[in-house]
Amino acid sequence: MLKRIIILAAIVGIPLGVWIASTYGQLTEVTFAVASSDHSSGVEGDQAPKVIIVSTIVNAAEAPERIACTDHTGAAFRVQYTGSTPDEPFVNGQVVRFVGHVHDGHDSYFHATQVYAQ
Amino acid sequence: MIAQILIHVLFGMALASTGLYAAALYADTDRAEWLSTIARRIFGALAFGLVASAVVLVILILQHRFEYTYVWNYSSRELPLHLLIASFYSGQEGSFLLWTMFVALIGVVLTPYARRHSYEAPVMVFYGLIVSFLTLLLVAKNPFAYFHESFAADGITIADVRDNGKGLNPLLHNAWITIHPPILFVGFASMSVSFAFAMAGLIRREYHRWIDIALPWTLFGTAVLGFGIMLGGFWAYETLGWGGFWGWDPVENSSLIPWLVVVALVHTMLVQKRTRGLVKTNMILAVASFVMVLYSTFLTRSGILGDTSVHSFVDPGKFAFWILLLFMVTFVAIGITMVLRRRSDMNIHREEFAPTTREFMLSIGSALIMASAIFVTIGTSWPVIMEVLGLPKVAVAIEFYNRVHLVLVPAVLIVNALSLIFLWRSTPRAKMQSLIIFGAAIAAVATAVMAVIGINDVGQIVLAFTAWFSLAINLRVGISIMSASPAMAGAYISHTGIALLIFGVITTSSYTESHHAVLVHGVPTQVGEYTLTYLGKEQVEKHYADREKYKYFVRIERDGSGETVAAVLYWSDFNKRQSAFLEPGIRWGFHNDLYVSPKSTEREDLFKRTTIMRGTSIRAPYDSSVVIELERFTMPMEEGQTSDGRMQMSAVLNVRIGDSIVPLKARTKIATGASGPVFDPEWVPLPGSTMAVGLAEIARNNEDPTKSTGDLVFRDMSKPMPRPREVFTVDFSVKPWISLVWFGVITMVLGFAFSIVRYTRQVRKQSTLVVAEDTPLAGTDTESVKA
Repeated sequence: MLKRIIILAAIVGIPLGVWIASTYGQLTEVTFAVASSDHSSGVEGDQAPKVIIVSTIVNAAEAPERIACTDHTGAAFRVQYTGSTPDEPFVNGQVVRFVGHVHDGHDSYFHATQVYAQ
Repeated sequence: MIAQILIHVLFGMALASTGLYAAALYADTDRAEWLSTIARRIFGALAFGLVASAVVLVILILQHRFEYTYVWNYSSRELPLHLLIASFYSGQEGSFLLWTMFVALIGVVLTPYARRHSYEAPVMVFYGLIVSFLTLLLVAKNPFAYFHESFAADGITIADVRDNGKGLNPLLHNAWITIHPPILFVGFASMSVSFAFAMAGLIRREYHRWIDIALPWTLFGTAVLGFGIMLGGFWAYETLGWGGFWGWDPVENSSLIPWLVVVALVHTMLVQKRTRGLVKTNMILAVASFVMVLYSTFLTRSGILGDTSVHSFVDPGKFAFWILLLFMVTFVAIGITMVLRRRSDMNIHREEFAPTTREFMLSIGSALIMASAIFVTIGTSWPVIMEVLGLPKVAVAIEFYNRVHLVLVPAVLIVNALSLIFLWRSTPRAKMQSLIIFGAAIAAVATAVMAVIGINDVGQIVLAFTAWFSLAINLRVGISIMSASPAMAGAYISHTGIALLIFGVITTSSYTESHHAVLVHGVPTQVGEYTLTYLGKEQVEKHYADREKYKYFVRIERDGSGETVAAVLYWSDFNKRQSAFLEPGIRWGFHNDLYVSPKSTEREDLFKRTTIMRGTSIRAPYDSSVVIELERFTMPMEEGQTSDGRMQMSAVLNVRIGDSIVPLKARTKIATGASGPVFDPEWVPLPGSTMAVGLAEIARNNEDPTKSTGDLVFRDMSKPMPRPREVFTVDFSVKPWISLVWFGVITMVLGFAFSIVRYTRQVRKQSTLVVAEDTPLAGTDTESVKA
């Protein structure tokens, strides 16, 4: 009986665990304005929530330190990319999904640590 | 150079010792003894060599030998002695050396122990293989690499020795770093022992005897790792300002997962010791507990988790990455192969456990603990799973772990209590019923009281009921056992500790009051039931050039009595001042802690402030008939520098009063501060009033400079200039009964200590007896009789 209980629990429990994890392990796609407003009430030392911004690269001349982008609303913002080197270099007009968080301040920007093709 | 070569030699010695022990396994008795003797001596020399390497590294750090990359990377001249010593294991290379050294030192103690039980060669062949992999890691991540070698590609030559090191991460500047990592690594190191004994049992086809011999070691590893994890939680709470003791961070989880597996193993080992069941389960769990140490190490040290943890992970390089992967895969393969090869042998004593027996409940309890380990593993591995699926790498939210454990923990507590109520083999119904009613009645009353006091969440009520149920049964059964034989009280003490820990978790999560408070210097501020006064700041650790570290003193008062705590907030060049380093101020108490977590510090805003964009206009805050238009901002080169070297910029304004327009220039001086530019406005009188305007801030829009904005401030010139006071923003929390968390874990570890003594004595006694492998264990079932 013990063996049956444990096998049954594993068959049900492990996929259930993966499913629950999937509901808590997803990033939301937002605009830069939403990402900025999500920044937790200006508390120093706290990092803003990690999000995805679908971005059109406007100026990649100073990539990866300074990439001028627009989000799907057309709002302009700056991206600082510090992730692993992408397969292809950033080019103007390219649409990518940047994963990262907003650094607030006088000159707020999006600090991306991952990049994916759209 | 000698130290670098020594690491390679140590790897060779580890291989030689392992090889000789392997040869001893297949040799005849005399030759095996000879081979084992040589292998043992080599292993002893290896352990000595590892200790010597560690000592050399510490000496190099103390002597500030920055020609070594590791010394340069993790230490500096400013560090005090205890932090210099801690620098030894603050980086990847040093922590691998510390881990390897502890594995080797435990091996030195293990060798005669295994020899006494005729297990030396089969245990040490696996143990030696572990040390071989660890020393190979040291070859890949050699702590004695020279600076000019590491940075040769950057044109660094042997002459380019740095005068000072990069220093230790400011987060680690704490006394806890001298205790927490070494204890944790002793725990990790001791996880190897159960694995080695299990494999030896499989080689010898002694599927029961290894349990008796390995049990004290397994208990030791569980106790030490558990204590190390608690110290980490205490450190996070007391110093790092995380606000809590557990954050479900991958690094925290990486210690917790093997600990959970080994806790499950301890309980299934006890079942096998009594019933001879769960033979395969114990083999699998012994493999799993060690493999999970390797898996967790791989996750946190390979750089594979990337930026999904608050702890800093450094990519160790491809060679070390593949060694870590090979290390893990090798031991998974060894474990699975060995278990599969002996699977038919291990089914000799197969029997069904009745549901109302202790063995059944302990098995279910272990399964539940394993479920916790599996869920934590899934959560911790989530970024890797996502990456494998080609999706953005992201960590699961903390709620995942909390939700899952809100189901698992009550189940574990109920099963724990039932496992004490039930006896081995069978349980008289009357005794079982009376104990269940006793425990349930106490739990119901106590939970009702807690509900009246304020717990209203269903999950917390269930948790409280099960914790009270477990505590009541543990105390009832434990006290009767302890009065008869204190040595047998270990399990009851440990379980009581777990119940206390759960109470601490419930009270802190349900009753913690948190307030966001803005404290103006010298002004008492009512925050909840307390009055907080920010008294001022004092610079500390002035000898560090990378930071201006301040203690912020806050007086906490209530009902006429009060205490002063010191919170710390500072910025450091270490992280390029990207985020602040925070340390809470805590007033420790038995029944509650008062926790002042610093958030920010700034000057009080004394003036009316209005934001204005270029080309737009605003109405003056003191008189709505006055309209101010911002024509443009001047550039620094247009304004020139001040005599003290500061930049200047101006807002070119047009002030419309009635029909007249008066042009004005509001200038500001700009200095570079720790957290960005600091603006110092010059006051320009506004016509027709006593008011003056100043430019307090400019937010430049780099994409579209025409959308840059500025903050104008206004003050009444007829009144004396107010002195801006400092504002200290904090999160203030009252954490009730958090002391139970610490007492709970310490009690649990104390229980393990009792059990270690008990089972070590038992093994000593048994070693004098010849126990036939397939006969029931000697001794009466005193525990079940008493229970």
